[in-house]
Amino acid sequence: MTNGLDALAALSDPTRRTIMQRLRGGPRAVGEIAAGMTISRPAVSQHLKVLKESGLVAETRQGTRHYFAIAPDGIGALRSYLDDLWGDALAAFARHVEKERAS
Amino acid sequence: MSNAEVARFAVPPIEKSIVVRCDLERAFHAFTAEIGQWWPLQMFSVTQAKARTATIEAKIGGRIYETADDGSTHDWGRVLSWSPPSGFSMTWHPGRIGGPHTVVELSFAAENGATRVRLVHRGWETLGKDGQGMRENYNGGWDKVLGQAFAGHLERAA
Repeated sequence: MTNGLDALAALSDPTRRTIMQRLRGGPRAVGEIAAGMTISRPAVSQHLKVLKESGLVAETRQGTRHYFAIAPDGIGALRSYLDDLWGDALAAFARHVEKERAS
Repeated sequence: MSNAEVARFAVPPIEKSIVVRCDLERAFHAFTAEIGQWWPLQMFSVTQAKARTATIEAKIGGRIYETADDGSTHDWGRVLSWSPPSGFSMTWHPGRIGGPHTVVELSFAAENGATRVRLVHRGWETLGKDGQGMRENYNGGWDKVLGQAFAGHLERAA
């Protein structure tokens, strides 16, 4: 399932943000993603799983190799969530101003 | 990855606009000094159901924060520029303070006897962009905006 909230939850972790930054250049295998990181490779795999479930990252297979890449749809859901948030906030502001006019 | 795919990741800033039927001064005052009266705290706050009000301190460097029912305060950001009644901008990193940040800009303009309010939220949109071209102060943007502030929100949604 993909929605903005899942994506926000996934990105609340600094390691997962680091992983996302590493994927900016294009698809990477787990080993490439984990290179130079202080956490174990299984831990990186676990983070990738969370990112995948949030819809931010997609996994593809080429033969026996697994690659991970940023998934545009997941980022779109996140933007949509924040877009809604500001839309609701401004609408609430307008109601506040109109209410005063009416009273 | 093709260039087209990369481009799709360059999410633009969020831009919003709304017209309210009052003059410029009133709109600016209502947005800032009265934010505690209209901000949807249930939808967006650090302490969620415990949040009681929100405050914008009217000065450069002023805090934007919420106050919870136990009296504790939780920062959302800091005022970067303050030009009443035409606009103001603030850093936006609810739940944390200091360091890199995203920026929300508000501008107010008279329009046919009413006031147009424009909002631009930028700095969080760099996810997926080439890190080489990324401005330094964007680096921690995700941390601030998307981090702790939403934790309670997310737990409820789960």
